[in-house]
Amino acid sequence: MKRILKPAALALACALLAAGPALAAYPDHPITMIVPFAAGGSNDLPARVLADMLEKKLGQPVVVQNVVGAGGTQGTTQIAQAKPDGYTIGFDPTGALCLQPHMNKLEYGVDSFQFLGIVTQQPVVMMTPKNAPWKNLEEMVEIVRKAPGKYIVGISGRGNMSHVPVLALAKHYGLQLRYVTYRSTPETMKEMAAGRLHFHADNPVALSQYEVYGLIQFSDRKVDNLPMPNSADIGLNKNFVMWQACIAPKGLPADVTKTLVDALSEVAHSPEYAEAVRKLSVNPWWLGPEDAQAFYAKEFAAYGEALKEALGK
Amino acid sequence: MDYIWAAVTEVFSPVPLFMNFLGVLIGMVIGALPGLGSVVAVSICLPFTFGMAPLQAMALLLGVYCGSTCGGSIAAVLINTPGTPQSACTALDGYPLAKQGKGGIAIGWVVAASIFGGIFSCLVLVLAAPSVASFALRFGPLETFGLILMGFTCISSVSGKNLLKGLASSMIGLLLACVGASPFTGDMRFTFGLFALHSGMDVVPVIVGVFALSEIIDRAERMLHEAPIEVIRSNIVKMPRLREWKGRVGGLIKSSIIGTFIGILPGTGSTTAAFISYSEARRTSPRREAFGTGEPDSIISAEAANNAVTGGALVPSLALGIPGDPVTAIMLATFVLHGITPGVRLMQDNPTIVYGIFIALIVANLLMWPACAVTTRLFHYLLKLPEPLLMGIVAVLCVLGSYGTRGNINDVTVTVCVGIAAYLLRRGGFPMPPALIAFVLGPQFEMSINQMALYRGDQSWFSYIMSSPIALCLFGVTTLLLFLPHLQRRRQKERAAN
Amino acid sequence: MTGNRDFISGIALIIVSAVLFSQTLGGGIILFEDDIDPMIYPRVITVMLGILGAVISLRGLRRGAGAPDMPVFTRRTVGVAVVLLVYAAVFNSLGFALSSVFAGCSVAFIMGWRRPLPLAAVNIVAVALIWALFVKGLRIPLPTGTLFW
Repeated sequence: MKRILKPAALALACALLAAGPALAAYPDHPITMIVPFAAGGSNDLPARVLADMLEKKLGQPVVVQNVVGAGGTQGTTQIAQAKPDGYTIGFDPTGALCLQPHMNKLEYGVDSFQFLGIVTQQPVVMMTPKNAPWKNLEEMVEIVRKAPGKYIVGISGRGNMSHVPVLALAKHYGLQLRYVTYRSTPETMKEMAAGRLHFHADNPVALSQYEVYGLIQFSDRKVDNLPMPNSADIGLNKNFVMWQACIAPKGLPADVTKTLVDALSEVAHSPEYAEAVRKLSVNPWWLGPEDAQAFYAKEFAAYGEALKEALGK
Repeated sequence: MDYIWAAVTEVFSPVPLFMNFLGVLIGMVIGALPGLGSVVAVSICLPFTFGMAPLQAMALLLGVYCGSTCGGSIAAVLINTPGTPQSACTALDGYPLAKQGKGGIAIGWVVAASIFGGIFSCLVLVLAAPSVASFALRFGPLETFGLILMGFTCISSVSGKNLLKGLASSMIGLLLACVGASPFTGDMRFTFGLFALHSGMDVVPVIVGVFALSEIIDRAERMLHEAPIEVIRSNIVKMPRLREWKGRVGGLIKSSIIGTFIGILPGTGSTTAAFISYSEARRTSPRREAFGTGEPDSIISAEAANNAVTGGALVPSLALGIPGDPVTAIMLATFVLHGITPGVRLMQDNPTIVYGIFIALIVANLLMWPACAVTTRLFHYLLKLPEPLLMGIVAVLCVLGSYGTRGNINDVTVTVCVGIAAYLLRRGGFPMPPALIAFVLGPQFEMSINQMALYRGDQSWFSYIMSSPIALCLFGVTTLLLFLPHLQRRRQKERAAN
Repeated sequence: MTGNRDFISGIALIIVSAVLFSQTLGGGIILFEDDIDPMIYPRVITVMLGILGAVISLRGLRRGAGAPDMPVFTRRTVGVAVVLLVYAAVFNSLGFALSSVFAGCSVAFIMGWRRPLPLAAVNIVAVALIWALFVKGLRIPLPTGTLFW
């Protein structure tokens, strides 16, 4: 009897030890939120606000880790390849999830992620300096039509969210514009202030920071704090809405998912969150996991189409 | 006038003053850790500012900004591992001084030059911000190209006698900068099919590899060949005496001007400023032959420039709302979070805050001295370790630093491979500063070329260049800088022959 | 600087630039109409590098061997280089702590420190301090190793 007792006790102890982590309540140590962009940027600040509030709900630190590179794809790849235990999640915008996979061969695709929720959205806005010779969209179209190839658009990368919407607009009106790439928003804004650039399409954050105004917002619904026509108004049935989602690698256990989603949903619906992100000129939004996943699949396909159209000029 | 007085009283009241000093201290420590850099330092402190009043928040962030640049130089001098990329040049003469036991004196030069550069740029900021800012607006792609070209001519001065190898080094630097996505089309270049190389080579892993890791590999063998000199290491910060400044003031002012100006141009930062100022000093200093053995002129040029960027970068930020470098971009974001709208009307709408920032920046610069003394003390204990143990820990810090910047595991491999390659190149007689200058300036150089081509449109190159007096000026100066040394040498030979 | 070294480095540069040049021949995919081929710029640079390499190697041939210098590949230098490469390779899989203690100890050992106890102690303490500073103090996560769990 004694001879089997000792090894049995040992085996039981080992089993308990191995099961230990599974029995502990989630979360029991800090969670890492990977942000695939640089600190302080428009994809990082909302993430930090979210992480700060999530921390209070979950009771464990949520640490933002910036993994910068290749237009957001390095960080996104890291999220896709992380262990699906709920201790590594990500905060990713549209571009890296929907546009990049169509342009380059990447290690992730439309099936790599589990969406926990979409938490912000803002339409892409095409901006122009306040001292431009046109005061609204119609005037702009008239003036630009008469001078093909004269006016220049500043973009942040070929084929990304600052380029494709403008291409669509130009095609819609039959305008000929030139596209010059710049490495950062401050540089682009400096060129706009100097009068060398005339247009730039980006998220509306820049509207509150620089001497520019918005000509058009690329969405089918009007957003209340953006006083400008939207694409539905002009008959352009294309939506370019930048959203940011909280995502995780596929295969999260159901209870972990529930805890995360509940916490996220609470934060996203809270007035503090709304106030904080509105200060960043971003709109709070909430699409729960199933809706978000379906939405993502649609967006992925739609951007693939939009890119093909823009290329096939 | 009451605004200025109100600002002064606010900045010097206990909480903002404490925040300022705390910021400088934190910035200095984070800056001293290899790889993290000023941007990471400021973004780490950002969450703490959410609950503070605007001026306190800015005092903290400005302190961190100034402190991080100085802290990086402490590490550069004492362990030959630049804590921030902009401190890389400081190691070239700072570390030799430290090896001679004069570490404290070297850091004294660092602090003095940094404070001067910082306050100089503050004065420019306070006195001339709007007009200087609008001048900066006239620098488009063509002018930027001219400026960078001028910066490249410095490579010839930095290469010393090895002009051919210096040029080869700079070509290597330019090619390193090409690895990864092409800035224009997003095509991958020189990635050999490895996804790891898709994000290109970041500044910090390359600098840490070239300076620190290659030095460690070199030291491993060189220790055996050099007689171990028992040097009494004095690491108490000693400020340089007034008479030691004789003949150096001109260089100090020139470096401060270079740093301020480069800070004003958005898209370039303190790393560019430090390298260009160092190269310029290498070209014109009366003591240039002594560069590399512990010559203070070299330290002065790099340090005055990299700190002058702080005030310079605030010029377009406060006057136009356009950040002059990544750190000021975060600061402007802080404004937004506190409900203050940056832009051309900032000065009119919030004069107290703006004056407060001017004064807080001056105070932060002055506070660098005590903070530096404290941080050097901390390093003092680290340096008591025998060299082999210290080198082991430095190697760990270096690798960690290159990981910490982007959180990208591939940067670790990059830094090690670059370090080994740099060791081989150094042993082959190839100078490293040209490679780094080319690497740092490379991306902007290529961008300007491509942008120029697009802006030119259908004009001829001739009319395009003629349309910009600034560009003509820059090209003219570049040509002069290229041919002046040859003319001088020819005149010397003629004189010798007579 | 021995002339032989110049010759070897010159040849090495020629080989490197040839390899890189071949990489630029893939041809950029021109997606949009006013795109500039991104391969032109690096192509020009690789050609210039190759030419410089040729000139340097010729100059090396002319100069001949010079004064002997410290050898480039010795047990120590190669040892440190190998340790660093291994460190980079296992950084993610072993995690920061283990790989750093290994690297710190190895580098110090190669550079001449032979007393094992202080070696281990100093490195473990240093790595622990660094870990605490980064993960707890600065909240920058460090890799914890994927091999064991």
